Amino acid sequence: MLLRTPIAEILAKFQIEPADISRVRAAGEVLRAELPAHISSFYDWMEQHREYKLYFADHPTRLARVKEMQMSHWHTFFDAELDERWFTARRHVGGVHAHIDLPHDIYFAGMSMSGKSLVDRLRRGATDIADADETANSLIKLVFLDTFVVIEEISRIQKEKIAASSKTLLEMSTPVTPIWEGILLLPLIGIIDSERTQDVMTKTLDRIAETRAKVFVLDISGVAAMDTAVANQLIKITKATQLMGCETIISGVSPAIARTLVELGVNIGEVRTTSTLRDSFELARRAVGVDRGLLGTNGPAKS
Amino acid sequence: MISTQIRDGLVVTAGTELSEQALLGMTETALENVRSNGVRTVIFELSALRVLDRAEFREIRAIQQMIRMLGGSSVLVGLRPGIVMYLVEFDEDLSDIRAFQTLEDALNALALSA
Repeated sequence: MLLRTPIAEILAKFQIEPADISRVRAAGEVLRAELPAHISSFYDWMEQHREYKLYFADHPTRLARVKEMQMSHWHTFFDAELDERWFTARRHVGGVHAHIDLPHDIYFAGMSMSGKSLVDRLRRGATDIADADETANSLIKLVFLDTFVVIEEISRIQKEKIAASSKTLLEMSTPVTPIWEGILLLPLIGIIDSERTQDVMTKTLDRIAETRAKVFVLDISGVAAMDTAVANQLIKITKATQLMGCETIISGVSPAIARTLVELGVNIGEVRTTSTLRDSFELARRAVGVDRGLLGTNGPAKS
Repeated sequence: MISTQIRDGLVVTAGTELSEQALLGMTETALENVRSNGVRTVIFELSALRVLDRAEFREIRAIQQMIRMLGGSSVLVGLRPGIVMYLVEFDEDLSDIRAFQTLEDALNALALSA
């Protein structure tokens, strides 16, 4: 996500008004002194969860560092300067949590625990704060905002990871391979969408230019389903390879796919198709072998 | 634009792009040679060509038709993947085009090589 929502818009959505911010700052006057106690109760609570062991058991120094960071976080929280820097700092926290794969439940539970702990302390300690209820509400709003920014960053990073890995998968899913002098084979497997057919087109044409293949065997026996759009894309690919001087043979056309194509009224034109890969090899080898020159307009020899 | 006759074939080589003048030159050279120099097959060697828009492609198709009317035939050689993808993407009519990756392939297939 390149365009982030403007800060003012986010604050409006969370119903955070200047009054809330000044209440949080006023609460800070009281609660800053309570922070060490709060943080220690937080880790007492945390210790009951398996995440504590997972993240801190073997890292004694890490615990001290995290406590220190948490302390500075709550100070920033009570400064309540909700500017770009504040958001960046919270996103950084999200980044760190995404990096260690912190589960959402423990993060939400932790923030909920913190919110409650702080509000309790406020109620107990600060009798001189005029509107304690309103202040508690303001605190909670800010805690929610804080949590939201962190979680959003975590999920953004997760999405990025998923996008990256599906790109890798796409890369791996189009193995255009030379299997014989002048013959390329691409076994297509799984579900085909327009993005994949585009990828097939690009890879195939590049490989043809590279290897100077004369025949391209596109095996679709592993393709789950075929619709008009995909069929038309495949036909486009055959036309494209022809312009590069390379004939495409589509193999592995199942009876189901043949029926679908005919029922959909897809005109496969002059595309060569065979039901088995073996038949395609036969055609392909004949095309590059004995009857090399015959493939162009005349088609392969009949015998 | 350069042209070379090999037996009854004529190789017309295009530069990195096709100007209007180059297209005119190609048309004239191709048709003149088919009519009077015994050329039967014109080979458009386009491997240097970096860009080819649809109008230019149709010009080439038109030249191919004219050659056919004079009783000759023609093939395209060396179209780049990018150009091919562009033409296919825009649904250009690609029927009855004979094409090759390299000049050598074309000469072999047309039995023009020594």
